[in-house]
Amino acid sequence: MNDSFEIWRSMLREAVRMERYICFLETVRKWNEDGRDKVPLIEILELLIPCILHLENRIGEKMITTILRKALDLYGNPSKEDFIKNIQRMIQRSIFGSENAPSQWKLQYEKEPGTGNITLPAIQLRNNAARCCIQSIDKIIDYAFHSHADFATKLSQACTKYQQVLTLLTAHRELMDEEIDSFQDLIDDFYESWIDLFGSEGITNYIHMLGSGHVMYFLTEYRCLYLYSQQGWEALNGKIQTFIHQNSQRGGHNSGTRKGEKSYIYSVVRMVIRDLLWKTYDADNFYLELERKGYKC
Amino acid sequence: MHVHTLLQDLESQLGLYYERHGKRYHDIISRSRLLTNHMQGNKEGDELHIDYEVPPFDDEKKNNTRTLLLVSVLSEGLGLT
Repeated sequence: MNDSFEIWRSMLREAVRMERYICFLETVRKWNEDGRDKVPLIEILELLIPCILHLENRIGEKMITTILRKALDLYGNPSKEDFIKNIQRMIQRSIFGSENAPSQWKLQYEKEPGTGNITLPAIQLRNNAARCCIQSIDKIIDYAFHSHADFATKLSQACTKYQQVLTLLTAHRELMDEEIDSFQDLIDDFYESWIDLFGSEGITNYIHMLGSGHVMYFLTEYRCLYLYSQQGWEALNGKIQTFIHQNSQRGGHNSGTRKGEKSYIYSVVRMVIRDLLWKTYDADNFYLELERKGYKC
Repeated sequence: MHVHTLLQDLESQLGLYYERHGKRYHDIISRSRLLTNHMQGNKEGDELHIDYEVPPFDDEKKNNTRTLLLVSVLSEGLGLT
């Protein structure tokens, strides 16, 4: 392929991106021509598609928190700490790690000084960890509710439906009409059982959006919501975090320089800019341009 | 939500792109044979897709792809380099 060929391709990619903006601009211009001063937020919201990555993360966190809190309630105060240690050990060795290489994850809990009452704060997980937990949720349920078979069975059935929902929702392709119908059927089954088991305590905004058909509306409209998720930014966040951890020690403390002289932010910014240059094809264009001018790259 | 503010914001983001090309989104999309859905499963193997990878040493396919891209560039009003 010669240079022009790839340059045309880059120009077309950029044009496609701009055309999507134009589509939105045309809608707004139409509102303006119709003499509308203000539009109800709902009309904007219909253009603002929910991020399924965030949805998956938040629902995952909520489900795990709700399930573990319910399990903790079944234990008396003296044995609650044992339960937390055991479930933490199980998650470290069976879900996030293995017997030979357990993970370092800790289940945080709070103990009231006077009463000794133990409570679980809302669990926060990165999306890959939340996904891991949801995929192995049966292990958690079996462990936490081994003496409450009926409850465990019903909960396990609800979670299986949710796993199937996620498979459809995060598919990297456009869904067919039948798949979207089956998506809502699965949600309805999950939602009914989940509410039955946990009531209003198990509800979040995103679970409400699933149950009331808002997500199905967007899915019918756009067919593939993965396209609109913020997966790329999340991945970049993870990359930055790894970069900082691999290249720094205690945030530069005791690094041998005077206070204020050393900063990690410049190297992080340089790394992010380099990453974005390649992702947006600007770096390709830069080198192609140099080659066109006769420089060897 | 104020329409005027939203309009100003979008127009400033788009710059002169809209005026320069003077084409409506639907016109461009309906006329173009070029496929641009980056979620298409077989995009690297689909000769009509923007991400099509031409097999090495296949001059015929290379020329077809070159023509398709050229026609698309012209119909978008992007000018040639």
